[in-house]
Amino acid sequence: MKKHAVLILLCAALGSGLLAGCGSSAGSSTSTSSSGSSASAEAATGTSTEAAGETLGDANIDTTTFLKFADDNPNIVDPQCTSDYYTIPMNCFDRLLEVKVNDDGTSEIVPSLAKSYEVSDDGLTYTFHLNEGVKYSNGADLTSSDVLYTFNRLLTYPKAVNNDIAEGIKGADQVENGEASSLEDVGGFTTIDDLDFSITLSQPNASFLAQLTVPGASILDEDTTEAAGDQFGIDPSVTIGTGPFIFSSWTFNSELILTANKNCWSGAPACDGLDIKVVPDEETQRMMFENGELDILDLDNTPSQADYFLGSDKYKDEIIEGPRVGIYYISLNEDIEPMGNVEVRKAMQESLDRQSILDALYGGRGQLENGILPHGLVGYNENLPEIPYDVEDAKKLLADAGYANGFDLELDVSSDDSQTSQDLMQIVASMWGEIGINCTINTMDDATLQDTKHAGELSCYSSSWSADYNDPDNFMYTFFGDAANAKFRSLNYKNTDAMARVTAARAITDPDKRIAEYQDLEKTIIQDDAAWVPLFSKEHLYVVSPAVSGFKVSWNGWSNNYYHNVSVTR
Amino acid sequence: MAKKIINRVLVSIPVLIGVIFIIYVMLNIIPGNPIEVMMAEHARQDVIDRISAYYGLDKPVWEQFLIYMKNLLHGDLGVSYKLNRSVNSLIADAFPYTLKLAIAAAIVSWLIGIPAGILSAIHENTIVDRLFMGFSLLGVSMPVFWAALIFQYIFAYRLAWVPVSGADTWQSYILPAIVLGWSSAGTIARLTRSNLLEVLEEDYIRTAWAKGLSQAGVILHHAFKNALLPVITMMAIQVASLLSGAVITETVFAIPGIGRLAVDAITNRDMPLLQGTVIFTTILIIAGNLIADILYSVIDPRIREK
Amino acid sequence: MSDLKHFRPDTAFGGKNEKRDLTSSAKKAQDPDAKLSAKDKKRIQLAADLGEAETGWDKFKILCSENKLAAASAVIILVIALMAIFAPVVAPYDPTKQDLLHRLEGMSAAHIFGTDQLGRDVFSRMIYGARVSLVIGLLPTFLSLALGTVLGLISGYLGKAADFVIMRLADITMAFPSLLLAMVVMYTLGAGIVNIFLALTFVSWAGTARVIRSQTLSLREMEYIEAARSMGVSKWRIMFQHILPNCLPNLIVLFTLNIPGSILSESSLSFLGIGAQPPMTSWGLMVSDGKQYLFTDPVVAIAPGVAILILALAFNFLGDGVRDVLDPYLNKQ
Repeated sequence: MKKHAVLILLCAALGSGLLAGCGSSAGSSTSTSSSGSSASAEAATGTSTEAAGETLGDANIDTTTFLKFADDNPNIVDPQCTSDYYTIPMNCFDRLLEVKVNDDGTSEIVPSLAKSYEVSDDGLTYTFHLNEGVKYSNGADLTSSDVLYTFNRLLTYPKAVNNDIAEGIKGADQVENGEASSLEDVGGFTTIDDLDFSITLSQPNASFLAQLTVPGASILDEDTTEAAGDQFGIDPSVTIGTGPFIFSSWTFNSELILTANKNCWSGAPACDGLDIKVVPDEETQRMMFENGELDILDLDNTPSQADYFLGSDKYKDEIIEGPRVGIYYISLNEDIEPMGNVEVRKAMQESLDRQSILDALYGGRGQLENGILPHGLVGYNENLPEIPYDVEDAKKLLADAGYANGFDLELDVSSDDSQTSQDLMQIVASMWGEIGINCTINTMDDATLQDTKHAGELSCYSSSWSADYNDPDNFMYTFFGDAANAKFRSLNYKNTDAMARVTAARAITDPDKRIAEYQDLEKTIIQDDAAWVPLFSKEHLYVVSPAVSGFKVSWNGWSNNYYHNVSVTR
Repeated sequence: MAKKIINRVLVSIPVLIGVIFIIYVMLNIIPGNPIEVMMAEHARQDVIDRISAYYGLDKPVWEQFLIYMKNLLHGDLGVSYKLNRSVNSLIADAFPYTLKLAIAAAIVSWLIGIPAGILSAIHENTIVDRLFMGFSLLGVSMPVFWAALIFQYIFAYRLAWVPVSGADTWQSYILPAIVLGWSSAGTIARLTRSNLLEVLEEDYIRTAWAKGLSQAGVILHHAFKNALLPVITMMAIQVASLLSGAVITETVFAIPGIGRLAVDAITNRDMPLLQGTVIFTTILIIAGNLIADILYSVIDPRIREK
Repeated sequence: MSDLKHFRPDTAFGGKNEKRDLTSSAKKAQDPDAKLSAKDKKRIQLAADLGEAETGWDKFKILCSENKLAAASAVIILVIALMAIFAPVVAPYDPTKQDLLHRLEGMSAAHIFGTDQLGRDVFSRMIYGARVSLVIGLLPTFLSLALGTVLGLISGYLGKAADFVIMRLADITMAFPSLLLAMVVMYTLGAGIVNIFLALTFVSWAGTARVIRSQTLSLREMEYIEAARSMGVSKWRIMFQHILPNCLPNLIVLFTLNIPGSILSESSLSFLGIGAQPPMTSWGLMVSDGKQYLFTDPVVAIAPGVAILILALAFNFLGDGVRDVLDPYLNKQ
């Protein structure tokens, strides 16, 4: 079998040769190509294959005592450039303010990097006072200029996606379009001294403080971040924050390792570090948890395994739950006939047995929603009337609208959607079929779906929106803030008066009045105008190994959590 | 010989350009903006436009193509929109995993396919033939993802002999290598069987039989050597095709190789990354065929004479 | 490539090996006095028996007794095909009828393979899914074969520029990693059953074209073709009436052997979410849907997986059997 060996060598040589040529512009080409051939030799002889060269940061961290869990696979961990991955922004960085969850489930905004703040009487100027002695994990001091840098970067960094946080600041548009280079030049930001500064808004915004708590508002170290360029959020060694953990190593598509920041200004974390695995497959995650390879299992990422764990005597006491502050809905495009007719839309609302859907798809773990603001959000209205499940009434509504024989309708699904979401649309198609709406499911790839949706031309799709910050504005304005927003999500809501009120509600300074306005608007938009079909909000369940203590689901039920106070015993 | 090789390499160049062109055209006639996909629910039109411009996506397609080709000439495959990294380094990072998997799988397929082919040929048209061919064809007939799930369940979950997934230790490669290797063992077994059958009918083998040499002796010393020549040349092609064929195996077993990179690139409409992975695997396949040709002419005297 | 498991005809019995096949069998044909082995005698006997058989049915019986496994495979395929054709009669339930109160119920007398995640009867869905799996096994294989045959004939017979262009196109197609190429095609065209046909055809014509081309090349020089040419028969007629029939045995073998590849490709595409789309179902999609419940309700994923396995295996055995029978040497007798 000598020829086999020759062949293997040939292939290995070919592989490394190609890589050396192909990786010429990559910084790590020499080390990688050499590892390519050595690794293949190892594979052939059957010895250990420690992969080298692809890990950014420190590749040799002993993670034995670390907390292990599976998490999303991030593309970049720069807090300003991600709108769906927050574990590193939350745990390696801090914000001026944070959200604290009380034992009764309510949450409040508490000081963090800013130890205190004052708001001017006109609601426009916020003056902050930073804690003394806060240091980044590389030893640099936190100063007011870092905060200014953070907001300027949000507005000017080409890949930033969270610029909306800073857009309410005075002069933000001038910085964004390049007319001014800094918020300080246009009156939006005033440095008082190293630890004190003030921010001035262009108009009062009651949700501004809440917006400062989102991961995208994490404060960055000016010198390190500027020097890192586009490697910030990619290379752990230059991705520096003030948080309880230090981003230490990233094996792309496979593993992220965070080590404890023992000198953290807010106290060292309770565990030695976090070993975060990327495991796309649900069954695999479950098996890894059962084999002790994971300490925490997020049942939201493994919905198909939820019934197994909840029904298991061994695991049912290891379940930890919290609300997921987010609403599932089905969009109705008022520009597509006959959905322009409010009676038709109401019939569509009433003909869905939402409880059965929740039971079938999520084991009943959640609550029905009847508006826009879900359970757990400030402003949630428990007195909102329930949308009934009434097939007969729905048929009557359809007949009144002139569609006694039903009509044809297209339901849109993305081929990237989870199986559960695709199942949801199949159930919806079947239920609407009961009142004579003849549904066809149109599956398209995600790019086409997003494109069509943003052009306002998608017929019906199901989606969910979860809270970034604890304020109704985060929900109301996103969907019904103005005609452009409503079109962008293919709702094409027509009540311009209601939309103008949603925008105006941002400036109401009295919190109670503001909430009352939102609740009234919610009733108008969803119950009177039937702008979408609200479905439900879910519970967020985790299975947590008994070795872990201190784990709490984050206030909004995100899959990304804070691990500062979580410990694990080995 | 050298002239022949150079000739083959030269012929490969237009093929490669064709591949790049076709993939570029196909990806650019689809509607939808990769940045839109990337941002999903949180998308805002102004942000989409700004990031698109940052990547030069606002330029006309032909201009983008020229820029891409120019960079390609310098060996630069561009930067992934979605993953924010250079495609060169992403491929360089992923390739060792895929290479290890492909070689391990190839070894598995030879270990199954060659003995099965030999035994089937010796016992042609008997129950033994059917059993061994059946076993190697079983691998070809199984959906890879299904086999992967069932193997994971039995060997990783129930018996806990090997890790469920990942690429941390050499044990992680056992299941994926078996699944992938078994799936290509059938081709090897068929080829071994048919070649051996053919060789067994050659005159010199019959002479050997007539001399009263033992069955094992004839098979091992005479027939085996000649029958395996085409099989060996096939191997170079097979390794190359395994390198590109590990897509699903890598997805199910969470191996961060080229295949998974490509699948992610397709779903994210991440053109630079997809083009990069396709060009890279195409080069591998072309190279594998080239090696097969060279091996064939080196090993087989009949071809060399011509 | 191996995920698609396309049988590679150029290496398995076309291309270089085929040249050897032809020369070695040609040698034997020229030298009828060469000592015949027992196997040769057996084959000649078989051919003689086949020649004597009067009806197709007799021929079929002879072939079946020759390779019982292939015969059994043919029966299995036939049974699956009949079930698919008469699905509305055979299936106990409406395959799209949901029953959310009876989800993922294991095997029972009422539902022999249980119900799926939407309470639909798995067995009924499998029967309807067989339609998709069979059609996807047969149609793209046939289309790619037809396309490959036409291009292979043109390339081999006309030669010159046509040959160069077609073979470079074939090189390009073969150089692509085929599953990736199929995925890209599916993304370009959008998910759906018709597009699977196109994607699989587009991916797999090149192998056939190469085999037919090399066969055409050697047939072109045969005396009877020369004769036809000198009599002024048009080149298209020569290609399709004189050369094509001689390629038929190879085409039949290629056809049978390429079917499992198509079936598995479809299931791979469906597994990745870009194949068959709900509410239509195929076995591949059913495994993909059911895989989430592999440990809680394994039958939902295992049953359609086993069905794919059986169908693909049956076609593989049948293909091997057909190939043994249609061996080029045998045809010359």
